[in-house]
Amino acid sequence: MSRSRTIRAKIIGLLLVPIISMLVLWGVLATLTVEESLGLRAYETLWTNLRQPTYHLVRELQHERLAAVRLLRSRGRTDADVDRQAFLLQRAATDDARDRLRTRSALSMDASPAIGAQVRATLTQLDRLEEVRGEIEAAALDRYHAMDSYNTIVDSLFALHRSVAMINDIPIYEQSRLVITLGYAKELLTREQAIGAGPTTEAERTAFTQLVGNRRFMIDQALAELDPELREIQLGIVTSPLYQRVRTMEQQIMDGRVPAGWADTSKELVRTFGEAEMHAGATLTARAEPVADSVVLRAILIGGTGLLLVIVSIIISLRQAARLSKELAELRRAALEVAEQRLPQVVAKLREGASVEVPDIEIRSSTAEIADVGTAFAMVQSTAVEAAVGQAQLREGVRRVFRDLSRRSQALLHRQRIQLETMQHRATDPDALDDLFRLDHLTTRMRRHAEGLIILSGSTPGRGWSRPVPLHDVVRGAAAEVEDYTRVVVEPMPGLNLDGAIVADTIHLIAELIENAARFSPPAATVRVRGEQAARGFAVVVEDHGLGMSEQELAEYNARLADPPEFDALKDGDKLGLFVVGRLARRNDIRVTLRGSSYGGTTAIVLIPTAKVITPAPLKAVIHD
Amino acid sequence: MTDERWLDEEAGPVVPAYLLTRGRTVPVSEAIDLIAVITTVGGFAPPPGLGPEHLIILQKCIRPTRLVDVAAELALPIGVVRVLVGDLHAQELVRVELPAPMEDPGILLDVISALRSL
Repeated sequence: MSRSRTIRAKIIGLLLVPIISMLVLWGVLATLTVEESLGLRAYETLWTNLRQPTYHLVRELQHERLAAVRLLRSRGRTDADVDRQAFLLQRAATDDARDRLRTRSALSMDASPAIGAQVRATLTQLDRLEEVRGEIEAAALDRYHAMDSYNTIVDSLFALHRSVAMINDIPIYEQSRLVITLGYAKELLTREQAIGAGPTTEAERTAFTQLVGNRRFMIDQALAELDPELREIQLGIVTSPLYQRVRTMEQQIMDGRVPAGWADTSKELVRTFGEAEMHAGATLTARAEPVADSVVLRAILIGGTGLLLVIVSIIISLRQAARLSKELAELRRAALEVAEQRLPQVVAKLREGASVEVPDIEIRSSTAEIADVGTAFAMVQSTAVEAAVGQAQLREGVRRVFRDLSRRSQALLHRQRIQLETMQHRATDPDALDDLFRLDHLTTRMRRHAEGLIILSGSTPGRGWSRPVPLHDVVRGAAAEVEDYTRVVVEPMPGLNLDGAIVADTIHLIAELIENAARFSPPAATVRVRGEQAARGFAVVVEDHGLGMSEQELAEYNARLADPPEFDALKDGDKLGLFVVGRLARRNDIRVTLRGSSYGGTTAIVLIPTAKVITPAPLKAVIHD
Repeated sequence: MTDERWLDEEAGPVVPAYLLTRGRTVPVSEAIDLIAVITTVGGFAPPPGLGPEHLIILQKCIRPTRLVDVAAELALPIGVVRVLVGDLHAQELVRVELPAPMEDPGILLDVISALRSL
């Protein structure tokens, strides 16, 4: 059979599922919050590694485009060398910015697969730069197409911008999209700048008109959605005289003229827009930081609170479990106490005839079911005690009836014996005496049985002697009470006396043993009774020549004699004599032992304590007298 | 209830009379007359196997005693004492002698009346 698990283990098992679920939920929640905060932190990193270098590169490319346009325009003229020089210088600056983007972008390439793909696409576009430059130097491109080539590269950089400006905070995301749009408007302005350097072709003017329209639309749209702080700056630019001048010049260019000072004015406006753009970018990045902090705080709060709740619930669960198992342990202890101690004690006490008082079981429990079981146990206990008391009373009643009836028989039989004795004295005829002897013997035996019942019912037969009686007479008196007394040989024994108080019991005890010996030996065999002084008293030895008993039987009988169990009339009816012997022995401190004899048969040894054996005063003088 | 107690004499003799003779009522030797005089044959120790009552009779009869007197002294039924003396006589431990016949019937009558009063 497998060992059953404890309640505690089972309760913990029950709690395990919800606790694990709670831990998993808490883990998911904490991970999500932490990821969000890490995403915000990433916005800042992406700004430094990708967006800022991209801004720089865009600016340098814008400058290079302008320089390229100037170079292409001045080809063949005297100032061509100056423009070439400017173009070459700008190329170097662009290359620096490009290299910076390459190095920086490598750091954030792995931020996400989408960003990685976008960065690679942009870098591929940048590779085309050398090709475009070669064609410009070889004058294989006209101004319009050279500009277009640069535009494509710049567009790819803006695409990178947009893809990187991802953030979990919606207001910041929207604003940064608008700032990018404004940046693109600035890009369009620089394209205008390049075209406006003039002189313009028809196609260039059409493109210029388109650029102006788009740029204005973009700025208007962005202004409508920008938040107040950023709009203030942009409004400042749009309403400035510089901007108005540029607008007038744009109109002139669209009309086919070449306004004086376009290059410087437009350059100034580009610079102003550029500054505003960088400022807006930095502002938004700075704005993302507190959001990130608040998210981190939230993460800590949510995670911490969650963890705290999990811990608290685990503690509460374990404490409840501990309390429940403690209550159950208490219940178990009480139940075991009732079963193993209280009830056996009650039964034992009732057998001794003592009155019993059993304290109620008290099981304190906050659990209704356990309290109910406790009450039920208390009821079981009181019912069991009541039943035991009732049975004990019944037994006591039966015992009393037994004893009274036996007493009456004993009294009548005793009187009959006295009567018979008187008749024996008067009898002269041997035949009449013989009849009287038979009657006397029968009466003696009947009296012995009546006394046996009295002894079994826990009382004492009323015969007694106040003076010491010779032990030899005691043994002979015992032999006389046995059915086959003629088979009993009482050997002479030392002239010692027995304390009168225990004479009646001793006679009865030895009579039972002799009766037993006679019954279990062949009909013709004698039963010998000896008496001898021993170290610890006086031993009366009853020997028979019967079949004897096995070692096991002897051990069993000796145990019963040493510690007589409660007499059970249903079970032990056939061992009545043995019970009487046990009772009498215990009552008078006499030890009775059965022993196998080496030549067959059984020897019963009755050891009477020294204190009860009395050495008589020398009698010889009395007899001689 | 009848919670009677019998002490000492009331309790009856410890050894019933029938045990003293092992139930015998007829002596082993010829019948002994009530007034037969019993005399112990002295000179040797009594053999083993005799009961205490046998020994007491031997003690008593060192001085010749009549059977009735022995019975009276031992407080035993005459039938029992007769058997016990019979045992001793069979082992030739005692002599049993009938007193010489009396000439005077008056004495005999006295004896009879005395016996009746027992």
